[in-house]
Amino acid sequence: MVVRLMLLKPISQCSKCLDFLPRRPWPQVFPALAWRGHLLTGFHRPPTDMALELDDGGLVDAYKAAYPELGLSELARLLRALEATFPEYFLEFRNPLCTAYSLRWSDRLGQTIQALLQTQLSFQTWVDDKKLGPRDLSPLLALPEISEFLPYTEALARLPISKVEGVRALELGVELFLLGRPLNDLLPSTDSPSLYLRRLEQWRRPRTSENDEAWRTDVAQWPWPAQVQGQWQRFGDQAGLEIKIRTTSADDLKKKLERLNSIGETWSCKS
Amino acid sequence: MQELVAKFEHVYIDQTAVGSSLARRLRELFPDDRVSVVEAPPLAAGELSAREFSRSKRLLYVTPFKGKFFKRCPGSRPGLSCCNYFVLNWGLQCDMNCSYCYLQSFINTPMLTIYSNLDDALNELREIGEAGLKAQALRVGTGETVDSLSLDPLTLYSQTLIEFFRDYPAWTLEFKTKSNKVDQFLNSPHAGNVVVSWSVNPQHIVEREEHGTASLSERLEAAHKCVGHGYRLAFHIDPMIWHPEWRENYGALVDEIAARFTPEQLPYMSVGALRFQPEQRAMMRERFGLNSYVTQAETFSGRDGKLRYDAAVRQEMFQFVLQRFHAHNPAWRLFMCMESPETWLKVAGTSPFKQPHMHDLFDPKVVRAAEAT
Repeated sequence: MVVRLMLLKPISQCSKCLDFLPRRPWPQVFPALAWRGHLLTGFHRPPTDMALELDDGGLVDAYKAAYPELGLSELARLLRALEATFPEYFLEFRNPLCTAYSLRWSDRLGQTIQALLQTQLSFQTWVDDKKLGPRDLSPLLALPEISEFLPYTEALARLPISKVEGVRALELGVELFLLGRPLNDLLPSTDSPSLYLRRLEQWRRPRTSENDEAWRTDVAQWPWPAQVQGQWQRFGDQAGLEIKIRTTSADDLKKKLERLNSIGETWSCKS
Repeated sequence: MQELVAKFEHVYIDQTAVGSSLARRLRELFPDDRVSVVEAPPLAAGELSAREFSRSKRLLYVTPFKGKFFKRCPGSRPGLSCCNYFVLNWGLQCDMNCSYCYLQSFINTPMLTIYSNLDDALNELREIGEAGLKAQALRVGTGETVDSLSLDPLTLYSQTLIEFFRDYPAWTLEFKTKSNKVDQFLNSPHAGNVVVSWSVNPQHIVEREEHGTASLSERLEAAHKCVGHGYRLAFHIDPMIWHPEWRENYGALVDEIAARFTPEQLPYMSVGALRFQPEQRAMMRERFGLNSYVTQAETFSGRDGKLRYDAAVRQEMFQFVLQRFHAHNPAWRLFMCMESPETWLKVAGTSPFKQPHMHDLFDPKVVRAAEAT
């Protein structure tokens, strides 16, 4: 039988330098954990609580065991805390820690993390809640100064938006900002993500949007047969008619298709 | 040559490539303190940052290639009307810096790689010939993953390839370049089956988007030199880039080409519009900001997954160029690159497979036979 002595240490005697603001509180049933006198978990426990000092073994393994999952923002803050606390060992921790969380350290990842750390905590939390990855944040790397863009990231984090919509809104916001749109214009003025995104897309593609809108208006006024709906729609790089026909007999269908010939002629004249 | 040598900070030669003619030549051209023999790639591959991608153009890495050199053009996809173009890749990356370059979408090696084993590439071609394709009209280009000629004064691969293709007169060797580096092969004896082609754009676009390339007039001058030595030419007006003065600028480009060359000198030309993989967008944005016509472009997802201009915009641009050329001379032969059958119908009135004068470029039998080897 192997007996391992576990050292308990008052939290008041532990450093909180490695507090990376984890999103989930450490479960009350477990003691806080520490490594070489630095708290790894339970950062909000009272100073009189005890922390379990782990064996002087693998720090990366300890993190992965304590935090099986970390969002990109949490990992970014953790890396920042580790670098500040253990500058001489940081390079040894960095790559294995990233690997433990299914990331591969690279110059690009480093730049993404630096950019993310310049944003507000609310945006960082949003990134983790939506499970955004490094590629989703690539638009931030195009900004010469992230601080100028912070009102946008703050507003985006408040919008009730899906991950896919949010990633697209971030990209459009950055591009429109770089194209010279005033930031105030870009801030959402509606709680409807789809309306908001549509506005951003229209601003990002003004010529095509204007052209599509002109066709949409025109097509709505064409002499559509009864129970036939025609709309100008965009399908990727192609735009054209989408036609729905309601018909109850072969004869009726034939008549409607004949009537649609005149629509075809109208379309030909306008093309 | 000095300008070309000065472009590179360092040359790394893999130890397995030390005995190659390329390695020997580079050691003669570069000072010793800028050449190292290495046992493994000196920089790790992986997703590159924008600065790593830019720096990769200044580091040369010479190593043998272990994969297949000869492939169908990677742009061909189901749903597109594609020509019978094949590629022979003797390197990866480019020393020039076009904003729209598709290498930005996939290169993960932080160095410009040149393969030292061109002989293996030629052996592959020999096997294809021996498999019954020697008499087929294969068109083989070397400018897909690397510019065919911008580094040729260093490698002199053009001379080796021209000599090889003399034994395969039915095949066409096509160099595709944005440089004006042709002097090193002009006097090479050839079988009349070498096409020297240039990607061209109006000078306004060259200055805005094709950084580090030869000017339009330098490319056209180089083309004239090639004509004088019996080489055939081609121009690829690709990618056409929409900008407010596009009609004026592309019109002037067409007029200049039509004034300086004849359809007999240019057996074919291609046009293509801006298109790129979605994953390329981030790299372009970081490297060129939103000041580029390319990053500003209004694009949509095409059926091949690439981002493209609206189909009607592309059709208008293609029709403009085709009609402008045919107004000069109906004998000009142009085809569209990586376009859908619908675009072909709207612009040319018919598919390329049904046009007799396009048959040699769009013969599906050639593609099937080559892919079967």
